[in-house]
Amino acid sequence: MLRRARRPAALFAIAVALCAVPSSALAALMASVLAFGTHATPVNFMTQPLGLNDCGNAVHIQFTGITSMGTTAQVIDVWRAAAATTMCPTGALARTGTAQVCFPINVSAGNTVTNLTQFNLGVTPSELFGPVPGNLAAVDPCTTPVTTTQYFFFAQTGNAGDTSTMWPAGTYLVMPIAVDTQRPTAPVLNGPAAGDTSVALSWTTGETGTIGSERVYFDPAGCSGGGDGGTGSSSVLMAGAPPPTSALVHTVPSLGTSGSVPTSALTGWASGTYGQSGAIAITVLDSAGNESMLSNVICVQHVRVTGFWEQYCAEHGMTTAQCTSNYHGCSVGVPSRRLDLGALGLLGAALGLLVARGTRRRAR
Amino acid sequence: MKVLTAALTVASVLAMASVVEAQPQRSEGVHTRFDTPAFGTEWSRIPQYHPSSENFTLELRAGTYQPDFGAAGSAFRGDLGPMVGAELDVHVVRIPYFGVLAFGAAFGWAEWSGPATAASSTSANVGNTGLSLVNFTLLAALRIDGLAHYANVPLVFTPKIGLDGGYWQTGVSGGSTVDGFTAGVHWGLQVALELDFLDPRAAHRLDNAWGINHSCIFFEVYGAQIGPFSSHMLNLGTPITWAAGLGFTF
Repeated sequence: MLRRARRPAALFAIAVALCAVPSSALAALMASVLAFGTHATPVNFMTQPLGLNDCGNAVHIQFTGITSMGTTAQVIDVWRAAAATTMCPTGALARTGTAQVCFPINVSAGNTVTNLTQFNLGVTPSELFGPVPGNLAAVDPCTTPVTTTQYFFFAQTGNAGDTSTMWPAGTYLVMPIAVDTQRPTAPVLNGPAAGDTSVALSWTTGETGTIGSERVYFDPAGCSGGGDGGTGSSSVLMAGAPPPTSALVHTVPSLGTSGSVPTSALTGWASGTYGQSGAIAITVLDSAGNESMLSNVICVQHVRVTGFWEQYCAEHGMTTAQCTSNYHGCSVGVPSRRLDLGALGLLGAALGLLVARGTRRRAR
Repeated sequence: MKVLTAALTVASVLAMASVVEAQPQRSEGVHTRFDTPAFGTEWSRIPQYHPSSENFTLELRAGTYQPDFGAAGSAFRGDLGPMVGAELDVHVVRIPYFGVLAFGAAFGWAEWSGPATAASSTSANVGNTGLSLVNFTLLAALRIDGLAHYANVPLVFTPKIGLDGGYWQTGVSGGSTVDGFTAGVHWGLQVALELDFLDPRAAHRLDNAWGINHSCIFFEVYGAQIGPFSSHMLNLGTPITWAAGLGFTF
């Protein structure tokens, strides 16, 4: 009974673990599990979802171990469908017609296999997701923002464009490919900001999707009046405009709504000089690598920041340097991590003693 | 503090009253009605309870801790920590019908933080300032458990005295940090309520299975003089404060 009760917990743990795996990893896993019949197996599946950065580039889907079918040319045909269960290459569904649910993809770079050992099928996001014969209503994701997942069927044929064959199960491959070409919503920076060795930034984001990171853009000539207002002025950074690559100074690899920028990264500021100001704005990047437009622009100042230590030293009539020298002189120089280990050791010893006693008691 | 002390006093009196009424067999030691074999019933299969020896005490604790920083302490805006930690005592000498003398080690961790300030005028948030302390104590404790063991009063009183050593680190967020070592003395007075009376059978099973003789909740008043003995040590002591937690004797 007890063992049975544990099963849901185990299944739950497995489900949680699977949910924690990125979709790209799952896609890669699926690609490695599904076999392309006796003909070929795709490897090195692309990172998903495809984003704006993939537009203009061919996405390469690599096939290895392709077996010659005895004809002069080996061809990999591709179909698109809305569901994985459509089984496009199995017959009538692959053909055109009023009830057509599978749409052949035109691979402009060519789908004729040139190397049986390793062949890269190069297709662009526009070709994969854009208008195709039989479905001209589809939109080009590189010109019209779209977020969708479609299922692509790959089958090896001996004759280019041969859709008349009844492909038996196991001789074709189906893979989901996701595309996300919608820019995330631009964040709103809370300001102004100031800092000593680093500047703390906080923002709110209206983006409901997954945020991958944030980029910080800086204009040292902005806020030339040393402004401390909530709105900054800059000729380089414009709120809601595309981010200027030349002003990119830092990437915050966080998924939250706050982060910090080292003042040393704020290009254009003289090192160690307080009183400087500048304009700053950020963007957010989603999991597809799509970057938002610039946030609002705020002013940032380089100021000397004091805390408890400076106040304590002043109270005792010492400069911070004297104070640090005086009290740090008694430091044993022990990194706190060692003390953490000591604390863990104490608890570990107690638990060890407890387990040993329990073991002895049960052995009697 | 007064409210907590009053609450503890009331709880202790109530606990004592309930124990005196509900546990007349406590003075019989291990030979309780629970342990008496009853042939022909399922009770006959339960082995007699033989308590294991008591050698250690483990305490898990949390409480407020605010060092006497002086005026500079205003940076933390009255932050009370908290201080969390653990203590492990080794029972060394048992004094018959009175208690046991134990030596032990304890550690605690606390952190105080508050908003940092900018030297020049700005309305911007410039981050936080903080100070963290990892404290170690070597101590002697006299656990007066005679009342609990021989008089059915489940209270254990423990005066303690010891030596403190603390490693501290302070700074502002995103800035440089300063650290150091400080030392001093420590005292404390603890009152613990043993929980065995709530369910003696469960307490016996815990001892049979894990060798845990008693579990208790405790309240401790303590103070520390850390740092005032040297001008090179940061003063991190406090005249008086408190901690509460769980204790296990095994």
